[in-house]
Amino acid sequence: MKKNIMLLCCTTVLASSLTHASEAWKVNTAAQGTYLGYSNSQYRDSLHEEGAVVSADYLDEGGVTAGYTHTELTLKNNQPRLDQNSYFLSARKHFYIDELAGKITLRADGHFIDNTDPSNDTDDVSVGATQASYLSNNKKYYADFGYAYSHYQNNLHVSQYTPTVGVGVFDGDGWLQLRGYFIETSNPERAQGLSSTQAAEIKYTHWLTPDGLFKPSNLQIGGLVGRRFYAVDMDAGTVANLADVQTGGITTGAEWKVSEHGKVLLLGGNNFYKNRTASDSYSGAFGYLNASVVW
Amino acid sequence: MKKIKLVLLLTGLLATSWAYADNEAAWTSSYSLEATKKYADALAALNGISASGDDAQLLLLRQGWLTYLQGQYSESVQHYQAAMQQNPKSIDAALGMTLPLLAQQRWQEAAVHAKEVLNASPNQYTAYLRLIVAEEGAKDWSAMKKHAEELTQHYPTDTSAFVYLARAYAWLGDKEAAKKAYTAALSRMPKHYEATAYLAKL
Repeated sequence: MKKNIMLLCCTTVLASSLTHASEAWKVNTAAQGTYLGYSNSQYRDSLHEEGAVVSADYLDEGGVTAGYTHTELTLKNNQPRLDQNSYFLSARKHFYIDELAGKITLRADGHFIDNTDPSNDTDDVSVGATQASYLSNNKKYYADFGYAYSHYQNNLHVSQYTPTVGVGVFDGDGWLQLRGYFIETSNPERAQGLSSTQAAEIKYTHWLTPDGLFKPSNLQIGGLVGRRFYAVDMDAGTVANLADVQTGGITTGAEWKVSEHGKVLLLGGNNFYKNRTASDSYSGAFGYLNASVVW
Repeated sequence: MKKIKLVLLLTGLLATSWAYADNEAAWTSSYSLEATKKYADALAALNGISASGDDAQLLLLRQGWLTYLQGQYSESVQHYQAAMQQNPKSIDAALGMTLPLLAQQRWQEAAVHAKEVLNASPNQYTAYLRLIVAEEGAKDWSAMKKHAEELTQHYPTDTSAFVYLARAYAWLGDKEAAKKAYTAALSRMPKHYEATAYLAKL
């Protein structure tokens, strides 16, 4: 853990010096934390995670992101706590295409997860993900297609396809995004009997005119319908390797611009899960806090 | 032998004057076609001009401008880049470069080139304005406020400077300062649409 914190500090210092070295680099550092309390679960009590993300963009050409998250999953019935370290690396490159009146971004991500799961089913997970996205110059239209390949121990591979569309509404004050999750598992016996899952996620963000420190700069609401298992969230840069089958969820939140270069994002919501093997249906209420600074 | 030298000299002079005449015709044709908004034809009219001749730099700048007008922003960037490599001191090239970059919403890169111009030629109006537009696009309200404020000091009769300053204050949540800047814009251009609309909302 100490090594990881050390690594993170070094990355942050490196990122800061990079910014000072050249105005061409813009560096964003963020600290984030999540608390999730489970209700009506036979086996799960709570989960909390803390992490940090450093992102550096070179002019308008592309950038890299590195992230680290430490997760602790507390179980019931005197089961030992599960500790997990997740590492995330991402790189992106923008291409400006006049014929499309917008930009194409190609992105590649890698996730490496290490935990204390005694069964090894969720330990030593590695994920490679790619995404090609389009954003129109007038910021009214967005589309992307993502693919993620996850490798789990004990004979399981997971392929995920995520088509997404986004559209600007209310004269640019609002943004509506719809994403599909099509997930295929190589071994249903290792995936609670599921060979595939499908889910749709909808998110709406509304920007507000600033008025004092306490008024948020934007409000967010989102929901998920369908089922998804072992999902890779390319927006959040996370892998749901510890979660059971998610059967729905609702999220709401707000973001505040707290200083010239600082922002705070607060999200809360409730997700619904099912462990099909143990016939355990439950929900998880969560709170998420992200504080970020652009250097 | 003397006769041969004389013939060669005359041929050389004739060829040079033909080339100058050809170039002049090409430039004239290009400018005329641009005036009638036939940008593709204006660009094609430059085909005969040598890319390594005396007008090479002007040719690149003109190609950058005419491709920009046609919405071929990536090509325009390439022409301006070549012009900047040929003459790193060219303010024309650096300023020209900001146009296709702003059109492609490459705010950071546009700001870098606008700042290059301001370093070479402090208080240059167009560079200031394009820097402010880039900062507005990047939603960097503090930088936008700083530069718009400077622009109002250097060009106190300019309406745009006050409008950009007012917008920056409004985004920073400082309503009073935004009101003051929009009022100043109205003094410079009575009935200015944006200023009138903002003040009416208060």
